[in-house]
Amino acid sequence: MASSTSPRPAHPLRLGLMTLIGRAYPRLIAGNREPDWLFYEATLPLLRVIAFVLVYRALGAPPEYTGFVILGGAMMAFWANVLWSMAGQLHWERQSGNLELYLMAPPSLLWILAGMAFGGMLTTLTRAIFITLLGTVIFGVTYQITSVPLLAAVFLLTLIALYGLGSMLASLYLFYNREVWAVQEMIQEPVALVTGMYFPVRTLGGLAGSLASLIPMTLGLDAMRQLTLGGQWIPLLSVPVEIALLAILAVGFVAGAAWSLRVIERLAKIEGRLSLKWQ
Amino acid sequence: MQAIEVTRTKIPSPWQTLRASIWLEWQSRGNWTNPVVYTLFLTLRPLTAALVLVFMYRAISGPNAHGAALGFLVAGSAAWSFVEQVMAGLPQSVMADREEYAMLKYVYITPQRFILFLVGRSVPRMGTAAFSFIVTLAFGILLLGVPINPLQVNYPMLLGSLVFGLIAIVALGLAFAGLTLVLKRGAWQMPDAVVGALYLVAGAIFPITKLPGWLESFALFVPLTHWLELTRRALLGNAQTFSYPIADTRQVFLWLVITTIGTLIIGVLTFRICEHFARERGQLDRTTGS
Repeated sequence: MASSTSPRPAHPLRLGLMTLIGRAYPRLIAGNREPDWLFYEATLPLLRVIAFVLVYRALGAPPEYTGFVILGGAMMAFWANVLWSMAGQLHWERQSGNLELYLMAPPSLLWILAGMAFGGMLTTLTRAIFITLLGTVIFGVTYQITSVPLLAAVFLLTLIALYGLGSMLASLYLFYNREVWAVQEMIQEPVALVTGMYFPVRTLGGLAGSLASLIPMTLGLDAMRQLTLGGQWIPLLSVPVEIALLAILAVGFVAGAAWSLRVIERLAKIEGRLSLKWQ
Repeated sequence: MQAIEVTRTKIPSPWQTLRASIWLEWQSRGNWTNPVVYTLFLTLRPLTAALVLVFMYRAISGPNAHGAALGFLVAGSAAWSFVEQVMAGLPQSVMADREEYAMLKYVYITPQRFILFLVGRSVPRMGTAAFSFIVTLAFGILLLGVPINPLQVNYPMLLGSLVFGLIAIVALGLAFAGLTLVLKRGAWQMPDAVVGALYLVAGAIFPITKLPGWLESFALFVPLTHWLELTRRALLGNAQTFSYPIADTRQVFLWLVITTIGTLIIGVLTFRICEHFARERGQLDRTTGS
């Protein structure tokens, strides 16, 4: 007589980590398997960066502004990844019919998002390094790195906060359908403006710059520029203050993502939005 | 015995195809929200793209500067809306029809010319781009002190160059729409990526004389370069600061016409070849999942 055995449930942490690796895997493999990413995701974005550098050259800007643009262009790759591959991802999964499968699986959706974030970060890092290296070589930019540990801390905190923000948006988008695409397009360029992606954020004015600090990219870029580029430009805040604020943002956005995902998933179930398509 | 009555159905006229595709594009682009949000959607991106350049300019020239270079930057950025909306939009519409709504095959089996259907779909995008162009310029003139006097704008030159510019933009859009049919990967990213490359080559926001010599020569064979230059000459008149390799405006116009004709031929041919391959390989209803 056949005996029915039920599999022993995995420890929640082990299950979570397995989910993280499982979801990060396609990001890493699919993102790098074909070499065409070099063209679409690194070389062509670099051309846009070059255009901004040439604007500064036409305006007779000091050389450190070239470094400004290159760092901004590299970080823009992360913002684009957060926006299109994190924030919009649950929406795309719903369109392709995968979202129901995610929700039926035993791990929390947060682990799945963490996997996407981890895979996305590593994949985008290769693009960002490519853009930085090539931009640096083409324009002969020199960096004056004052502290490698601080630079690493700023970079990591910026990424954690950014991907936390992306996870929050991902859950919010469960309430929307076709609007998601438009909302994504609407916020991509304004963020490049308010975070000072291509110019010192102080140029916006103290108040606007402070408000823009709610987006982690603003503080992260300003701190990274202070730690790598010299020159006479005026930063928004000092590096230690920016690190402290970035840490607060990172904790806030990750906790906010966990909370909003729980609440919005429940509301979306009540309103029957989890399997809505083409609305 | 009753004979089966065979009725001859008229093939839709080009105008019917155009009208239907214009309406479809307008609905698919705009009916997700109310007019206020849609207006915001249309203006926010080009406006902030122009503002990025304004703040770059102010970071160098000072907070209250509003010289001729500012006009150069804002005019180029405003005009670029046409390229972003139409050229990048056409391939994205094809991808959305094929992969998101799975309706491309149904469009394809209707008795109409697919290329005409795509041209029709570009028309609402031209309208929304024109709206963005006007709003960005108005914002620049009224609030940023961009040196453009609406009473001194050379409107015939502006409209004449726009007609040829739009023909070139639609031709490029058709070529990339064709390419999306045959590309396995990167079809979603390709339109934006190409727009980014042209942003550099066509000198959308900086004078092409800043490009390396060989790239500057190549830029002269891109119709968008001449269209942008004529747009700036029409808007800014004598307030232009940066030099252009061709001084005579009539010669620039001639270059625009010649390169537009060349682009039109290449664009339609590219579309036809890609369409042929897509049909041959059964790719018209493929889902890449990319």
